[in-house]
Formats: sequence, C-alpha cells, structure tokens
Amino acid sequence: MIPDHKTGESAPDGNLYDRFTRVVGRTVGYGCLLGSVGLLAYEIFARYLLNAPTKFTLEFGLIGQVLIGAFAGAYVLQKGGHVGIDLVISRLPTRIRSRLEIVNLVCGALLSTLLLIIMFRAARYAWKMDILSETLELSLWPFYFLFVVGLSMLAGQFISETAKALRRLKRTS
Amino acid sequence: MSPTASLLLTAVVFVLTLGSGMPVFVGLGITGAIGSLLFVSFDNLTNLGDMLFGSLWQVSLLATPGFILMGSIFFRCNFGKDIFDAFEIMLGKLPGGLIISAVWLGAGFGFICGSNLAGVATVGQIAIPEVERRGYDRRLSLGAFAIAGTLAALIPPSLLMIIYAVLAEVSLGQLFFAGIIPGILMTLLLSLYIIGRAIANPALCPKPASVTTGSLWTTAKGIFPLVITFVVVFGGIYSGIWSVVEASAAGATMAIGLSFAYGRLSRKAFFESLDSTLQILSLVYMIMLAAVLFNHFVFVSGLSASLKAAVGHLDLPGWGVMTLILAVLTVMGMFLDLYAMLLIAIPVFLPLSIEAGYDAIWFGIVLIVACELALVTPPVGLNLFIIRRMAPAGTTQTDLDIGALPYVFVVWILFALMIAFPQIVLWLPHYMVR
Repeated sequence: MIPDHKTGESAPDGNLYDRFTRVVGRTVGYGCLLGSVGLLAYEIFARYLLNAPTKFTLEFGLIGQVLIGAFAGAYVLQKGGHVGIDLVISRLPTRIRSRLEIVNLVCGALLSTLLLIIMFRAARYAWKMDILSETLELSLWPFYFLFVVGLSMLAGQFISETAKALRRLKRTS
Repeated sequence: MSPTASLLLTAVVFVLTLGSGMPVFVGLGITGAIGSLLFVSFDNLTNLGDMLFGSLWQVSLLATPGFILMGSIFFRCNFGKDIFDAFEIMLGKLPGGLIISAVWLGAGFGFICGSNLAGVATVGQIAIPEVERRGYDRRLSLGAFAIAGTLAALIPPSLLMIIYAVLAEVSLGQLFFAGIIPGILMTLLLSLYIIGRAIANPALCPKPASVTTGSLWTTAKGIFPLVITFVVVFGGIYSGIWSVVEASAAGATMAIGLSFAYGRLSRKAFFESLDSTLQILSLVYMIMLAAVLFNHFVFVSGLSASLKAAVGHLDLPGWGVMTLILAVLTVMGMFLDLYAMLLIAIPVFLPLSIEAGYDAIWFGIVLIVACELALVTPPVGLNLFIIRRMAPAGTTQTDLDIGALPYVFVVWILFALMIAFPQIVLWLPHYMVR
C-alpha cells in the first residue's frame, strides 16, 4: 500500500514502477544508512580496541551517502516526503489545486531531467579522465553513473506521480 | 535583458514556484536554473556535474545519517516521556512549572535529537494532554510548546547546523559548541517569561492539588540517556577521541544500545526509525543538490555583490546591518520553509554579515535562531500547524498564532543579546579549541 502523494493516505493503485522504486529505495537506502553508520562505528572500534585504524571507512561512508542521495529520492517522493509550502495552494478550490499539483510534478520531472543531463556529462568526463577518490584512489565514474541512474528513477517517479494525479483529476471531474 | 530585469524575473519565478506548493528542492532548483540561464548559456549550466556530485561527497555531511538515526530511535522509543518526568520533578514546583518542564524537555531532547519535527512532536504529544488535564491556559502553553520544539534546531547535534557547516564551509565541531550557550540562554529566557506570566496572572497556570514528586531514581533513570549521550557525543569530540562524524555513529550505536537495554527497541520501532531517517536524509540531500543550482544563480547574477554595494551605500554600523538582515529574515520566515530560508540566506546574507565584521560561526547560530523563529511565525509556521494537529478540539489557528507571538519577542531579546555580546556564541567554541 502506497501513501497518497498529497494526503498521506495509503492508496492501493501503486503501479509496477512504484513497487520498483520502493524496493530499490528501501534496499539501497537502508543498506547504505546502516552501512555508513556501522562503518564509522567500526572505525572507532578498530582504532581504539584493535589498534588498527582503517583507511576505507570514511570513503565507503561517502559512497553510501551518495547512493542514498541518488536512490532514496524517488522512494521518498512516492511517500510524499518532499514537502512544499502549501500556504496558497491549500486555500484554493480542489480543481485548481489538482491542476497546480500536476504543474508542480511536471516541474519536478523537468528539474530531475536537467540534473540528469548535468550528471551524465560529469559521469562521462569522470570515466574518460578516470577521476579517482583521494584516499583509496577508487575510480569514481561508477558512482557518477549510479547517480545518473538514481536521477533517472527520480524523473520516472515524477512522471508516475503525474500520471496518478491526472487519473485523480479525471475521477473528480 | 538587463541584470535588474533578470533578477526581478527570477524573483517572480521564485515566488510562483514556492507559492504553488512545489516541493522546496524543486522550487529552488527551478529558480536557480532559470535564473542562471538568464545570465549564462545552457552549456555553462550543464558543467555543474562535479559540483552536484561534490555536494554529497562531503565529510561534514556524513554526520547527518548517524545523528538523525540517533534522534529517530530516541523518539520512536519514547525517551521523551522519561526526560519530561525528570524535569517535572525538578521544575514542577515553579509557577507555570509544567510548561517550563516542557520547554526544558524541548532543550533536553535537542541534545539527543537534531530534528525539529521530532522535537515538536515529542513536546506536543507528552505535554499537551497534561496541561489540558490541569487547566493551564491554552494559548500560553501551546505557544510555548511550538517554540520549545524548535530548540532541537539550535541545540547540537542539529540538522540545520550540519547543512550550514557544509554550505558555509565552517567547522561543524565549532558550530555545535557555539549553539550550546544560546540554546540554554533561550531556554532560560522562555522559562523566565513563563514564570513572569504565571506570577502576574495565576489563573493562567493553576497550581496542582499535589505537586509531582519523585524519587532520585526516577529522575536519574529519566535523565540518564540524555546525560550519557551528551557526555559520549560531546565529551568525545571535545577530548579528541573522535571527530564529529564519528561521534554521530557513536551516538546512533548508543541510541540502539540504550533502547535495547530499556527494552523498547521493537522491530517495528527500528524499521520506522530507519524509514524516517531515510526520508529526512533524502529531503536534505535533494536540497543540497538544489543549492548547487541556486548558488550558481547567486554567483553568476552578482546578486550578493549588488546587495553588498546597496547596504554599503546605507552606511550603517555593523549592528545596524545585522538588525536589517534579521528583520528581512523574520519577514522571510513568515512565508518560507526553513530549508529554503537557510539556502537563500547563506549565499545572500553571509557575505554581508562578514563584511559587517561578524564571524561566520556567529552568523550561523543567528541564522539558525532566525530559522527557528520561522517555525513559529504565521502564516507559514510549521510548528504551529503540528501543535494544532495535536491540540484538543476547539483550538483555533488564531489561538496558536496569538499564543506564539510573545515568544517571538523573547527570541528577539536573544537576537539583541547575541548582537550586543557576540561572545555568547563565540566563547565556548573558542574555549574548546584552545
């Protein structure tokens, strides 16, 4: 059951794409969150109890952070977690509000696409130049490309939410 | 198009996007992109990829998951009630003691949770039924709860502080220590105000038939998670045992351990904590991405330089410039979400503040207090909405708006003190790193 974008109520009309972003968002999100925190805690343990400080924890933590940023966006959008200022919109008639919601979602899709284009160019450059991380000297281009994938999912989720909003508008009119 | 016309057009886009209920990151991102495209080519704009990636590849930002998870777990496992009970035993005998206990709960919870939402929800859920049962004045108490919830933003570890430290490129450790004295001072000012009102009009806060008393054990048990978390997190940072980032992981691990030891960590609470942490993280990270576009617009438009020149023409003293900035921030706070406010204020007002002779750490704390104010100033006061949802039937938005108003003046007293005595903010961080 997926909470409705605006009302927060569970809506049974979650499509296949919603299920996909939910599974990916939760899996990557929970995993990277626990992984980042666990690695940093392990660093303290390794430094003081094993007397063997590590080099990898910070950079792996940063990779986790980038992956959360990339993949959780679509899932959180689906859950209505990206809040907006509804001072004006909440006072408008339902029909106008529904239309504005669609405009907002389309703007979200456009912004995600712009970010996607920007990141894709950077990813291609990182691949060509083989940009490396500072400490472990890991190639960063795979993470740049994963970021592109995450932004594509976000753009897709905005489109999915737009389709749902259009269906709701049709039902009410 | 002339630069002035471009800036005006961007301002119109900004008002339209945020006014239409668009998610904050979309509104700011669209404004930043359109604003930038009025000054530079599309090709130039698409060269920002490394900055987008770099906005999340930030070591300071890595403190966010741990601190948010720590707060979420303490929140879901109901540690707020223990803290409230402990403060009630200590402060309940004062005039307006119950409201004061709730304010101190907000401050105390701030030390173990950096999220304003969790702060205000904790204070509201625990204290509202109590004040209603005992017949306290609704406006006085609900206004206090709305502002008490904001203390989590000022008292470290604070999510807003992490975002500020990343965007303004200042030391997160120093910023954390800088928030402690203003946070406690604000709590004291709020308490004094409530005592004053309760003495002036005893009908507002009727004395209970029997004042709550409790054993030393109850107090100690309630306050223990708060004290141990504070000691571990901040003691570790101060003594150099671990960095702020590692302290966040230590705090989260300890929150899991304490909740488990208290027998409160159910599977449901754990996964709910993970999910709410993920939601807050995504919100913050998306805003960081939007900040790249918005900051690019501020840079290419020369907005900051133009403002500097305009304020320079006014020939105001440093405190005059700051008062002007705070007045603008207060008005902005009436209409903007706190993340939007933070994002706009850093590139636009931080250079002005530094030009006026103030420290970036000092400005960070003042800005965060201004963001707190934004949470309780109508018409867009998020905390007022949250408290209203928890308030008993018959409570109107006007009750909340009028109830919160006196506390806005209390916050302005804090502003005045911080402008007159910047050491209130700067003494502790400088002392700690000496």
